Amino acid sequence: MSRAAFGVGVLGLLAALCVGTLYGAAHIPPDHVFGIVAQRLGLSGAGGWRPWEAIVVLDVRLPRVLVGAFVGGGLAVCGLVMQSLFRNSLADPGVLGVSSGASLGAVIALCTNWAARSEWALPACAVVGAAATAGAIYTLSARRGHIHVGTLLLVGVAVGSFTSAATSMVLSLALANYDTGRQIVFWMLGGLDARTWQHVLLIAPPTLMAVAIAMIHVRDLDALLLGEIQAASLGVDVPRCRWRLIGATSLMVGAAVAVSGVIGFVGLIVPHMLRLLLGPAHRLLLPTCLLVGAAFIVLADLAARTLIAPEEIRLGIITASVGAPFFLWLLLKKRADGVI
Amino acid sequence: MRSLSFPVILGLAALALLFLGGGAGRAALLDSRFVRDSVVVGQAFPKQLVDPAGTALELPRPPQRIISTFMAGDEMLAALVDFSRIAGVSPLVDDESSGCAGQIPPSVPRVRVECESLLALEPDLLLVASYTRAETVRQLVAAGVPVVHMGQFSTMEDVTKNLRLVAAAVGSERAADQVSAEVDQRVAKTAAKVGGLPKPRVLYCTAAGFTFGSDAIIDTMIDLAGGFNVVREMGISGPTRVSPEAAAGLQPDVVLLSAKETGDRSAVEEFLRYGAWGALFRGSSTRIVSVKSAWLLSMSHHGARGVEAVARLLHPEAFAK
Repeated sequence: MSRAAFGVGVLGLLAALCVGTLYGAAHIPPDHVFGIVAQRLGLSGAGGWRPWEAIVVLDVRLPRVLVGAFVGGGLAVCGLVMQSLFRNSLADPGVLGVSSGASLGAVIALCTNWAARSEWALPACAVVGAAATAGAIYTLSARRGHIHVGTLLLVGVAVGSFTSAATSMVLSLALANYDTGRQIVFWMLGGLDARTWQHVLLIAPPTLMAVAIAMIHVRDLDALLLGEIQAASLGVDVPRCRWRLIGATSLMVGAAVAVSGVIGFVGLIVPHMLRLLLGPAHRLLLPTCLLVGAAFIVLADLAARTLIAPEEIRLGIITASVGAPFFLWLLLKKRADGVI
Repeated sequence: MRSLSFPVILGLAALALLFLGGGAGRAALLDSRFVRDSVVVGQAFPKQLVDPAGTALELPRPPQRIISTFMAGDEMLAALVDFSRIAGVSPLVDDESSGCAGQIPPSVPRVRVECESLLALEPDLLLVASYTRAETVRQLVAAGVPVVHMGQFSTMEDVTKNLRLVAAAVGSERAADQVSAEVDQRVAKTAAKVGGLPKPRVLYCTAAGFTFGSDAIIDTMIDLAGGFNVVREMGISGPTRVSPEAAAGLQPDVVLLSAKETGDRSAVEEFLRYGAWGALFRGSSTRIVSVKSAWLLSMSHHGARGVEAVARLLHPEAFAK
């Protein structure tokens, strides 16, 4: 079962990456797309495609689908880790307020026009916002070096509400300038348009690192499902494990928000869906979450850019409108089956 | 050990990418890839276009597939080149506030600022403004498309400078000279009529309260038309929003609205029906006037007509002579 599920995940992601690269706002014949990629990989010579087709495939679509894959996979893994860590089925990457902090940083970059001056301004501000929020939450919830999970969650909610309010204030001030206000609103709805290879290089390391750290702790996460005391009795260093995982997920969420805006639901739906299908063992669940989350965002982005092409639906709208009903259907089905 | 192999591989991959990404990041920062104004070098083709990233590109011949992504760019192209050379215009080109509404044939694609769609039209010149999404501009520049970026639209000098920049890129310098001369002449003629007259206090405003302080083309228009933009007193530059209460507190002599046509009374009535504007200004000494939006809101040469139209409304006595 485990190998089969992982294999299906790998094949699903590869298929999603292929389809995501094949289709877009402009029509490029599939044989041209494959030829362009093969030529870049040194597997074939030049074909009969036009120069703009190669630019679109190599510099527009490929970085876009890869950024989508890293964001989706990373957010799904973060959601899984947080749900297990907090033993709370509602936990997702936004629960600690880190997403809101990253949003605030990015909105400031847009409002002050820094984002127009340097392509690194927005990602840098988002990561700084995420890190500052995580630091504030840690400082506020730690007492003599000890952290109570309930306090941590409540502080996260409070800090998240504060940063959301600050974001709304910046937005309301920026709305006087139509163009800036429009950019901020569009960014807050989440999207992957105009992503480049530099965005791939920005999102890939934190995603891979966060996944690597989570993978190191798969047994600890299994134990934590039983409760912190039980996990400690099984030899888990709970405080160290908790802060490694919170640090990793904060970094990952900050990087994801920096490159794609706020994309909801994937961190909630994918882990839930897979846990219902595969059971609670993290050794299988975690890599499968990575693959399915990646495929989910790549396909959602494909829908976002092709459904009403050349117009685009914002990715956050697609993930919410597709993910929420599916999640509800799955829950109702399992309840009808008596599983939950 | 075996269970650690997957995370170890991921970690090593992440470190490798961090190294690569850090290098790319440093290179980008050192390149200082700010989106800057373009420059065209040379009197005759082949010319050099210095694009928004500071890269010099050769324009071997007058571009034949030109795309404009914003309204003022559409208006400039309509004045400078044969429509057969236009490969795309902004979707706003047909709006009533466009100075070239109804001029560009429907066969010319209306394109939004989206990288794939723009590249698919194979442009050999692309016009973008400071308010075009910077990330998309960078992507188009990186794709090797010759991009003309215009950053300033606050004064009539900016307008003619932008017009001449586009003209230099498309090889229509003579047409630009003619249009610029008309702009200068119209503005000078207006200035001569209103010079020395007392400056009425003017508030440009929409029903939703959007207005402009200094460093905006409307501020320049009001000034050239012999008025004083009261929003300047708030110490605000660029676009902003005022409440009806704050607007009344500025004590304008004239409230300036944009409308389909100059003197459109229905626009004035609509404004007075919206929110508290009517309660504050109906029956007051403040005059509420409207000017054709294609002139008043234009950031191209059509703005000169806006200057004249505003001056006629602020100083009717000067034009009656």
